[in-house]
Amino acid sequence: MRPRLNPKIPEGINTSQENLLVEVIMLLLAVVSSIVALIVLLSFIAQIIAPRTPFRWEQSITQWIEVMPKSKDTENNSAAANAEQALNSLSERLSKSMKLPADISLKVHLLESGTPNAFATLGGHIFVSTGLLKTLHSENALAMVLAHEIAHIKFRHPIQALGRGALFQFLLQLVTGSGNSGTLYNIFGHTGFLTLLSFGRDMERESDAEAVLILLKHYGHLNGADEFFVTMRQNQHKDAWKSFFETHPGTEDRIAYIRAKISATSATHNSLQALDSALDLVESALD
Amino acid sequence: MESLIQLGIFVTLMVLGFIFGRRAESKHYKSIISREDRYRHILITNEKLPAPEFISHDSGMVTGNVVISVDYFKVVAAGLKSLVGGRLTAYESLLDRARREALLRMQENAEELGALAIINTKFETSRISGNAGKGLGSVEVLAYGTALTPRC
Repeated sequence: MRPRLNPKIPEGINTSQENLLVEVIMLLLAVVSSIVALIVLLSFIAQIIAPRTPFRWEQSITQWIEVMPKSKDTENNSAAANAEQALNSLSERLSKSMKLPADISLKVHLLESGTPNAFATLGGHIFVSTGLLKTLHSENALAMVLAHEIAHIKFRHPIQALGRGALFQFLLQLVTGSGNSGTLYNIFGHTGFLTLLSFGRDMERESDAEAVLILLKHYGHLNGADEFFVTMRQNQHKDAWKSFFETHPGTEDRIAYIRAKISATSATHNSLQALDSALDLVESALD
Repeated sequence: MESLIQLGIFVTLMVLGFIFGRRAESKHYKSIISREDRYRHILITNEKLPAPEFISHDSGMVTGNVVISVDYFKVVAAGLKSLVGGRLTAYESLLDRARREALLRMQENAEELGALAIINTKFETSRISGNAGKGLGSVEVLAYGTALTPRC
């Protein structure tokens, strides 16, 4: 006899009643923790390899910085050139106080930008913005910033960061492939990025510590070293939780670190060095 | 900071996808089960030829068509699952709903024609808006068959 009605099919044959949420959370945790572990591993590899790569290689990548066009304004040009020279001589004096490997050479460049900023990159190139010169009032404060950047180069941080980033990108491509995994790429990307940031903060702390040592050796005291950070603190009102997402340690922490070092040196009111006149001139020339 | 915003967007999309996807799914299943009861008298088979009692009935094609889209949560769930392999349960329920909905719409079509049974039922499925691997994919499920209507 043929059925007169469609049969009722029991539920759960073609679907399953598993809890998807639990599964997703477990998988997410597994993925995130394995990424963090892999990056830690890769970072240690980068840390070992980076100082062993010849500095020449870095320099050959960054040759283009030397021939980069400077300010177009000819009137400002001489002021900027003088300021750059003053910066370079200061960095030379500072680098004498630290044991830089023989093959590392430094070159400071002036960057025309209102934002107070300084950074070090591959090939021993350090960039200092005119906005930074404007905020600082003593050579000691400028020396702290410069020494921090020189320390980055001494420890070969730029190439480490590059190596780390490259390794991570490679890994990302390897795992997510080119298939339809845009979302996965996102998860991996952000986990990795945050892990890399925390390594960045370690580098900054290492450089801060080295910079303090250089300043102590060079000036015999640390007065004025915190000026830049104090100014930064005035300009920003940050919440503590945001510090997790920053490359640099919190400004507050850095001021505290320098102040602790100042009190530890027991130096009484030592006078601050005035900024080189060339640096003052470039400020007014660019106004 | 940028990374924080991106993570925030990711979490928001996941939560939205999960809540709305789940609500839509349970609502849809309720509707599917109640309508399956309603159309139970329109027989669906995949036989090629009509049974003897339908031999003098009129025949005509009936179709039921559904397009469904995956939600963000399911995409992530499936993406994670495909790293380790196994059943993609996230998609299973989705496609189950689509097939049953397509059958129901075909039965609805048949009822309008006054048909008693549908034979030679087949499914077709095709992918829509694959977007070269980006964005959320959607899929079409088409059910079609031959409806047998009593001759007046």
